[in-house]
Amino acid sequence: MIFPRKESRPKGGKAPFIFRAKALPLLTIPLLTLLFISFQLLSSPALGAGEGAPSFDWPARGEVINPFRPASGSYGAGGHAGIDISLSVGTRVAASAPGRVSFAGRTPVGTCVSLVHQGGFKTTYVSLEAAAVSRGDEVGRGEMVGWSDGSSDRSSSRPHLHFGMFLNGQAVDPLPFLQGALLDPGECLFLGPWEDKAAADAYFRRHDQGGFIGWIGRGLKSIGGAVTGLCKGALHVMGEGLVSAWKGVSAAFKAVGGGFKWFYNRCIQPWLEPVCRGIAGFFKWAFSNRYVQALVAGLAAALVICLAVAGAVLLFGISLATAIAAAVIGSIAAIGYAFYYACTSGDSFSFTSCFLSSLAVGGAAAASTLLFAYITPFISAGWAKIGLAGFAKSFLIHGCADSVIYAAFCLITGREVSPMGMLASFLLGGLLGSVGKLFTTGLYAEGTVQTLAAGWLSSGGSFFSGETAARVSTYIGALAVNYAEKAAYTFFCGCTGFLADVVIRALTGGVPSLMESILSFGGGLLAGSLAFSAGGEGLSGFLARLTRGRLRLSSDLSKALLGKSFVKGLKKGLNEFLRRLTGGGGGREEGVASPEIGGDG
Amino acid sequence: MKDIQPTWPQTLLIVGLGSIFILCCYILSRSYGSWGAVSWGVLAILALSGMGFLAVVFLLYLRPRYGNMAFPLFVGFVVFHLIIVAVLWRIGLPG
Repeated sequence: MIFPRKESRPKGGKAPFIFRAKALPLLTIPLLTLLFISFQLLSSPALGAGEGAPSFDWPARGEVINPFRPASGSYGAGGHAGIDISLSVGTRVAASAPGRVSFAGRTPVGTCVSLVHQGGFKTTYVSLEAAAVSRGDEVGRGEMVGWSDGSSDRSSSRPHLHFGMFLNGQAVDPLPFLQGALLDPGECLFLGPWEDKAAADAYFRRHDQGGFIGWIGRGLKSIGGAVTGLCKGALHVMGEGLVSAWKGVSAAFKAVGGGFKWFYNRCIQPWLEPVCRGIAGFFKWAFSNRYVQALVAGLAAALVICLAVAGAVLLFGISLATAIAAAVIGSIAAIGYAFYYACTSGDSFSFTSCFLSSLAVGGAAAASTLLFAYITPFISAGWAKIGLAGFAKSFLIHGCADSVIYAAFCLITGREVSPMGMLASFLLGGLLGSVGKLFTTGLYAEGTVQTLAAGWLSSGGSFFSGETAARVSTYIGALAVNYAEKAAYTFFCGCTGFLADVVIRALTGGVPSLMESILSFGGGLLAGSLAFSAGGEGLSGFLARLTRGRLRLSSDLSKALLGKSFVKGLKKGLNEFLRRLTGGGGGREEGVASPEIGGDG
Repeated sequence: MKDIQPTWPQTLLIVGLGSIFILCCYILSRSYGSWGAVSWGVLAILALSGMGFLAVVFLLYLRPRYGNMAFPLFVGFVVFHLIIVAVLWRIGLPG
């Protein structure tokens, strides 16, 4: 206890030794008073509770949804002078401790009851539906003071009871009192175990904190906390150091960057920018020239062609020499056509059109080269078969055929036959026809396909494996043997349809139409396919298949039928002709009875 | 397919008939519509030479070589050369 009990001593005279000896401890009173005052200044007001302070019970059991907060501003601003206990509507609210009702009535925040307790305590119960007590009533512990109205306010969104506690007019946190942490007001003034061991024991017993050992533990805990704080501080210092270092490095980089920027602005930019502008201007000026654009378009097309040829090499295993030849020829054709396009297009020059047309021409040239490389074995075999004489004869016949057709075209369209046109058609037709003949002769020559397949197999680097290539070659060879003739027949049927369309159009003066010509070609193909569906035997085969072989038109039978019909018709027609020529009724004499015969006369 | 080539006389017959046809076309294309008896005669020669050309091509060039497939190939022959001339015509070279 901080206030030792007063001892009585005799008045007047020198105090006996016993009293002086006993009075010595009283010298500690001022010191302890000072300590108490400073302790009170530094501690919670609850620790200044007076003698006889009661213990407090929960006014109602519920979750604390808003704790006590000391005021941080004037007039209690920023604080919460009590706790909010979550309650449902109509819950009974009891007095937390015995006391006297100092207020019971409505306030702006709801119905409120205030109780005054011993020791300078005061409790308030706010947000009641109704008060069960009146001012001046003495209430005991647990006695009902009202019912919760289940309302909420801005401090808590859920229905609650606001329970406030004041000590000597100052708001204190009621929670420690409700949790029994400070049941004895004397404990509020407890300063240490060296003052009153019994009080210290009571304190430790009440709080079940293990007595002196617990006190040692808490000391160790404090030491741990201090070490932890020290570590935190050290880490904080380290963090600060790292941050500072990082800032320093950043500043250094920034300084270096600034230096570079200064160097660039002062030493490089003055000459680099004009040079770049000059280069850009030069390219702009150059690209405005259509020949430069044609060169660029041709080079781009050549690049694409070279890539395509490289792809063909990887895919089909074309020899390197052939690939190089195809790439070179295609590139030259593309670039050359690009310049030709630039020369002939004039102001209507278009880079896109130039590029696409160059690509088409160069691609065709490269593809022709590759194709020629592929058909070279066939042509070689054909040359071995027919020789120079056969080639020359084919050249003459095919060239003559083209010239004939050209002359006929000129005559039909009313143009003059031009010697240059005749020569061109003769040369082109002769060349294509004779080369075509070489190719077809070589294709049908014995062993050519096998030679080609062997060359393919030995080419290496092919997309297909050797085994796959052999299979494909065999399959294609079988297809060629089985279906080449039929395919050729159907193709020529299609050509017949196309030719018929051209002839009819020429005779009727119609306008040529590509789509209709293609349709005519397709019709011819269809007719040829139908003919082959009859086993390649034409109408006869068709009828035989249709009637499951019961009816078959052999050529002899056809001739016999035709001959008989023709002879019979001719005989009949001749008789009729003679009858008319003689003016008689020879024709009727056979079947019609004459009135003179067997008649009246 | 047989490896039968036309003989040189046969080849010259084919080319000769074709040349007559071309010559007739050349003459008629320059008569500018003044059709007299001579022109009709030229036209008759043109028709005969044209039919003769086609006949000898078929009989002397294609049939000995391709046999029963000669006629479809003859049609293909004509179409093939029609296409070539049409391409040339389209390009504008003959005109």
